[in-house]
Amino acid sequence: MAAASLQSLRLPHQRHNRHRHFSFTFPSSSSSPSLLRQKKVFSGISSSSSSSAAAASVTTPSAATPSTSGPPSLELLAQHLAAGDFRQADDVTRRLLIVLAGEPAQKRGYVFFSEVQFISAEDLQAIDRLWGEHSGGKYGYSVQRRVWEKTRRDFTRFFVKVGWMKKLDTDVEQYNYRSFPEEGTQLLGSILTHPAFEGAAGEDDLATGGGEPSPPAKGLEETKSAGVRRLFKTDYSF
Amino acid sequence: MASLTSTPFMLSTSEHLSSVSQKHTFLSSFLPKRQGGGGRDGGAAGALRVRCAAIGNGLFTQTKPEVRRIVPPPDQHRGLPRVKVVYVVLEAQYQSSLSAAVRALNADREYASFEVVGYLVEELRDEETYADFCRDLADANVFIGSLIFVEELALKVKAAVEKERERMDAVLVFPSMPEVMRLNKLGSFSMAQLGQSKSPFFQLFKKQKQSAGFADSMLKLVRTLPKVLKYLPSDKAQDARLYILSLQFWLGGSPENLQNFLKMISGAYVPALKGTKVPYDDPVLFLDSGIWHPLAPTMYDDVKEYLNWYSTRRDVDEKLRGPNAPIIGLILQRSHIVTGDDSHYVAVIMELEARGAKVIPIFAGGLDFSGPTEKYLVDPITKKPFIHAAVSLTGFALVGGPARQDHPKAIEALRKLDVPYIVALPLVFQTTEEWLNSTLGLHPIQVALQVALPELDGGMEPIVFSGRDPRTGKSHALHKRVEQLCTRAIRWAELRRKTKEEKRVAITVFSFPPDKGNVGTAAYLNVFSSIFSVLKELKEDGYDVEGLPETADALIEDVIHDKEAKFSSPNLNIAYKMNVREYQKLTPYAGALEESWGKPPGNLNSDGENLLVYGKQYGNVFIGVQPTFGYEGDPMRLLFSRSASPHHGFAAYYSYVEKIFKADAVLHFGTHGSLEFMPGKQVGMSDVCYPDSLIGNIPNIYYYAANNPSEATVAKRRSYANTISYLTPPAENAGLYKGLKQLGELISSYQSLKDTGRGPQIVSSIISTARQCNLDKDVDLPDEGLELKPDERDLVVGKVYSKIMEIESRLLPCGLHIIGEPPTALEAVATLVNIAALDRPEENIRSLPSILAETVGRQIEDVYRGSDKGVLADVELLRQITDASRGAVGAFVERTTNTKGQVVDVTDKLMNSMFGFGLAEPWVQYLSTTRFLRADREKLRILFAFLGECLKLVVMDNELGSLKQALEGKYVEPGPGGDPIRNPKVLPTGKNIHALDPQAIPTTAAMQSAKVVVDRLLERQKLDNGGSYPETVALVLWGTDNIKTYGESLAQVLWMIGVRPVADTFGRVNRVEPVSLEELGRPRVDVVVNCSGVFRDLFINQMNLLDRAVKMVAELDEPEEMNFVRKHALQQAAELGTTVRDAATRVFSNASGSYSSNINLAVENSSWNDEKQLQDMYLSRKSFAFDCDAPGVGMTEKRRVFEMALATADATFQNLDSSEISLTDVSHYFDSDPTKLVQSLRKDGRKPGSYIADTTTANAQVRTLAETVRLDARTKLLNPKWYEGMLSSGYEGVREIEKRLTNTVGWSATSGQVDNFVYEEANDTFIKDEQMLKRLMDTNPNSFRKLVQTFLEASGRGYWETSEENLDRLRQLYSEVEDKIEGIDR
Repeated sequence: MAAASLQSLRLPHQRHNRHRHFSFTFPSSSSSPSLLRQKKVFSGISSSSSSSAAAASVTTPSAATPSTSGPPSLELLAQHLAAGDFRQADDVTRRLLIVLAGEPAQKRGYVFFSEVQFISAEDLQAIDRLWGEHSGGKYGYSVQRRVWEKTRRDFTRFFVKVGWMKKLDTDVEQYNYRSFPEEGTQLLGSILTHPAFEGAAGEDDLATGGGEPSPPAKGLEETKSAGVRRLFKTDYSF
Repeated sequence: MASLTSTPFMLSTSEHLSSVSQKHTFLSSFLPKRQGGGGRDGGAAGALRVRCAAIGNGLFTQTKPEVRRIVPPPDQHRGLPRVKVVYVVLEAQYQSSLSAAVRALNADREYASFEVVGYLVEELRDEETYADFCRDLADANVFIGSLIFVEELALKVKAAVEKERERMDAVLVFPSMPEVMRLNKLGSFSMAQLGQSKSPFFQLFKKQKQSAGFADSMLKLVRTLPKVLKYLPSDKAQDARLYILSLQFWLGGSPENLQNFLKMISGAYVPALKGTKVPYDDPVLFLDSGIWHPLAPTMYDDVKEYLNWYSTRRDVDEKLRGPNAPIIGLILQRSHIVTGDDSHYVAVIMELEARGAKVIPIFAGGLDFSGPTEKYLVDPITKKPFIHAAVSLTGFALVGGPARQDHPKAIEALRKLDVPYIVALPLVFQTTEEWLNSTLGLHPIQVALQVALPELDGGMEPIVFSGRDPRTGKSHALHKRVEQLCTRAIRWAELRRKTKEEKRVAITVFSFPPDKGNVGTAAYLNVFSSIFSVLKELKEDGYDVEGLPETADALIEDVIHDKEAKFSSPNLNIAYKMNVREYQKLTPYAGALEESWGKPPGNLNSDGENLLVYGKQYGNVFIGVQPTFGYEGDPMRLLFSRSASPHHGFAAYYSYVEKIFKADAVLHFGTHGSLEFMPGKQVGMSDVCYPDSLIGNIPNIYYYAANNPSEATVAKRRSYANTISYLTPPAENAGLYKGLKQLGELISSYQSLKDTGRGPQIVSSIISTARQCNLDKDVDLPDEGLELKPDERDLVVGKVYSKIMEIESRLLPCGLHIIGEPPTALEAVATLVNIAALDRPEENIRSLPSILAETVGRQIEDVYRGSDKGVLADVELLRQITDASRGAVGAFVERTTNTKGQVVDVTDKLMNSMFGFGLAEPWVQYLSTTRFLRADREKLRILFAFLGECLKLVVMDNELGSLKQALEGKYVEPGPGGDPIRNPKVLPTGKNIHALDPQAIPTTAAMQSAKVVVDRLLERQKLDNGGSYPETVALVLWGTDNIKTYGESLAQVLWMIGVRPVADTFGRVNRVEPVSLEELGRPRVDVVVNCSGVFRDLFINQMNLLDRAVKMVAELDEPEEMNFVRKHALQQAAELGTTVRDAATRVFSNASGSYSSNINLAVENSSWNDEKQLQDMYLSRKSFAFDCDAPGVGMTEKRRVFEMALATADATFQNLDSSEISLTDVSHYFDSDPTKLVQSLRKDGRKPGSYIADTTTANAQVRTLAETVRLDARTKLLNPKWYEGMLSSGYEGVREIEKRLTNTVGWSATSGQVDNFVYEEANDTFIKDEQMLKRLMDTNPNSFRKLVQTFLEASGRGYWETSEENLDRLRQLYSEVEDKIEGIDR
């Protein structure tokens, strides 16, 4: 299963339409950006010809804007990141990964954890670099890798720290997902342990021992929250 | 409606906006969450706070169908006909696929625009949602329903759809209850005649009546379509064809299939589209069953092909492809795969593969997985399984899904598979957040369908592995749960792969209450001898048990190190010292324990620096002592321990077993430990539930007493145990001793001499002896010297005789059972006699007493009645019948036994030869020497054939065998737990014990016997209550009791308030209806129902049923003097300012995750000040009510109503269900007794009557509590046969004696129904007898000290009046034994 290289991504991919179609018909994929949640298509279903524009219905108010269209590429990713549109960038990253993982992943519509090894370190690092550059070093896999190591690779604590899980108001301390990692954590784990991010693992070793990560630059966080608040409507999963 | 916190899915507040914004932390982004906000909110209330996670409408399901509504864009309304589709489904997997289909159709803008709205069956419980549903149906064109199997809701669907059925264009119902299936309508095609028509078409549907294969017969129907259509008239054929196609589309499930389905139905049946040609593609068919892997290019119908593909995978390493990887078989539901709602399946597959396990994921479309399991997972040639463990992700029983199960068929298939069988659960009726919020955990309906039923197949480990997104309805992995499930599955698989020599086993024994005298406690089990016998066997089998001592005593010595040291001293053998750093590293949840116990190490199982693990290791076997709850001696914690966690020492023990000793399996040795009773959700635990965290990754095997299926079930569900049953010790008749024996002799001489003139003299001896034996409490004895007429003499003698016969024939388990030592045949005689004493009409077996009574022209029921009344002739006849029964059974057993007392030949051959020659039948030979020589031979033959089978099972030894199977990672056959006398299917032991289908009770038979008991109880209470009916009876419901009796006591409650259960098509009881007052012939008696914590866990649906019944009765328009429920509810409603319905709250238990009133712990540890304190414990822990109007709220504290209801009680009542467990054997009974409490609450301060129903024998009795306590004391504590039997078990035996005395004090404390003579005679027996005293002290000084202390306590608390001399002796003994213990310590 030869993985695609980024070069091939510059050409529009013929399978692309399908993914888009599914982004629209499964509201969750378009309205709740998730950690590596790759939407998938059941392999027995043949492609539908429905056009994406018409697929939007009143129940998916947050259906993606036309800007998602276009083949996933580093350029597209960079564009969204440069525009501060992290949500779109997230979606492009997801689609990029699928393409990078190779033909079967594209057919399926999501990446199986064992396919990650075939993605080249350069490609993953290129994506990571873009995120890092446009977020002042706050976002990206290598950042996640460091946090994850600090939590001793405990995904619950990791999710809590990066805010993907929220605390519930129950007698015992419990957390629910903000968005659902539908296929579990193995895929994310495979990415974070990819040789591409080896370097990120040990950097913060001094800081381990249960301490909280240093607080983020306040300004950035708040600006972003405000932006998002205006952009997106309520999401029923929370 | 009760609503305490806001519905989590409503997003209107600004707080939510911020949470939404926070969530936008992307795939590649990192946004550390701000801490702040104060961490645990409301920490002030802390551990003592009781919160009810009530949300929204109080039901379990808060989701609304609006997320499933798709309305075509407004511009589309123009020109296109509108088609509205309403669907109802059990599970949400169709939601995303159907939504996709409809959106695609609307996008096409051809033919029609579609509006669709879907309801989950469970949502229809909500009144508002149901009203919406009806409104939606009012203008719907098409209705679709699937898998509607919950009766109440099926009826609601039926009622709503029926109204619109004529008007609607099409009604399509796929596998569901027949009531709903009959709604089907497609042109001329209808199923209104379902189950009645003779046509071959309908015959197929009828099959569901007999078998589980309902859905499968539908599938078969699909396959045999052409053949079937031949039999139909041509116009009908077209419609029927479309129905079949519809079913194919539906089962095909993909958005594309569903699109074509909607096109086909609308084109054919929606009038506005008549004349429009709506083309559609034929259904794309997928395999009905096969093997599916997300990476595979195709589905496989052949396992070899699948494995070939697997071995060519380049994405996984050699290790996974190689021959040494563990292989896990997964069982999946086809509908999730075809609809694309399979993320949770993919998650499990990834998790397993990432952890180095190969997978074979199989799926099936029908409800019967037994065929596919065998086809894909067992090698057809070698008959060996391809896998090392099987995990079903469907949640359903293997055969029958939510419809009609066929457990024998499932067991047959699983036996062939012969690997550990795990049934994990997806959330079906709850969203992720609803489940997390619930203290009950899993929705009760799902517990019934997907936990209780799979258990009957031998399924284990009900781990919730996937949640549900409320918006899309899609399943998603719960990442920690998936991890837990997969690691555990692999650990089980490893058991199958590892060699015996390398396997590491941790045997865990209990110590309860925490005292060194109690190490190795387990009901009816000689624990150390059993461990010794198990280890010997394992050693021979090839396990490494290096250094095992020669004897069981030496083993005790090794583990306890110093038997005479108190447990809390570090003198128990220390296996490991764990420093705090290590403890914290190994125990991720250690921090959570600090709220209750402070910083580690704390002072329990600790030396101040380290945490101590007690035990001893032999080779690869570790024997460890499970720490106790830790709050036994602390009255405040006992009162409020609801949210207490395990202490650090407890957690350290399990961290040690899992991570330092590295156990491949833990063997919990005997009934019952503390782990499974630790706080957490009742069923379907989450990451933060303590039992789940404690057991960690270790496969758990648990020896459990066969007669305790309810607690075994708690262990099974909360500690993921494979519960292997062991036999209780063989029962014997109590016999007579001392004065009672003399009485027996006197009575027999009276019978022979009564007409000789010596009669009066003998009678007067009888009366005086009876008095010495304190029988005057039970029998009304005339004054001595009073002149009696002959018939009066007969009556007195008859009554005394009847009493001592009752004592004599009482069954008691003698000694303690040792695993691997089944009873000899001769030891089994008493058990067999009792098995023979019950009529079994369903098997056409008449009881022996009834056959014998007929021989002399009597009905056995009459004889019982006469004997109960003391009619001398009847007492004598009953004795003869009893003797003849024992003789006949004894003769039979003797014939099958060799000189060593072992059964040599209950083979079929011998049985046949016995039955072949009538004369040779030993029981006939025996009976020919008695007056029953004319007994019906045919009936006897049937009965003894049955007894022969039972005998074989009693003496069969499977307990060790099953343990070895479990340790080898094989399937352990499941079997019911219960009383072997009532239900010989409990035998042979060594089965994976399960309870029963909770919705199956009460059965009709249980209702029958309940009526008898209730009538006797009311009769009896009227006698003691000046002829008037009791207005209220306070009673207790036990889990085990209701399992053993199939719901008799549940039925008793129903009968008291005058309602009867109504079963649905599948025999499930989900409804009740009132019995008319005319039929009842008495007033409806009010009840206060106290459910044990275990009953609550097992039978929450039945609590729901009871609550509905009580509320229904309270709302009946009947005169108050004929309906006490209504009478009291009206008063209480007025006083509380609430509605009658709310006031009619009568069904109480503990809060979720909490068990017992803790009075038992307080009494066992003597850690209570006065009775008031005990009563407060009872009120504070037992006043949680279940409300059928808000079931999702779980247990809610309603102390006020509880007290008010108890204050009206005229009687308290409990059931005794089996001869082995009587009042003073266990602490549960007094723990739940409210007699003195009721007295303190009643306005008149009157003590209520208290009664015990005893249905342990064929002649059911209702006795007063005092009578029962006396009977119990006479047959056990004071009976040489019993205590000598116990003492023959040594160390454990002394403890058993002490336990009976402590429990007796418990009865004094809660009920005050213990006579002084019980303590006095106990003192005579165990203290005044110097020889006995010495034996006790030497065998188990710790238990002896507790015995002495308990005597002193009984006197100190005023329950026992005795001489100063006795007390002095006790005090002196106490200091002697203290010295002795301390002396040895030094």
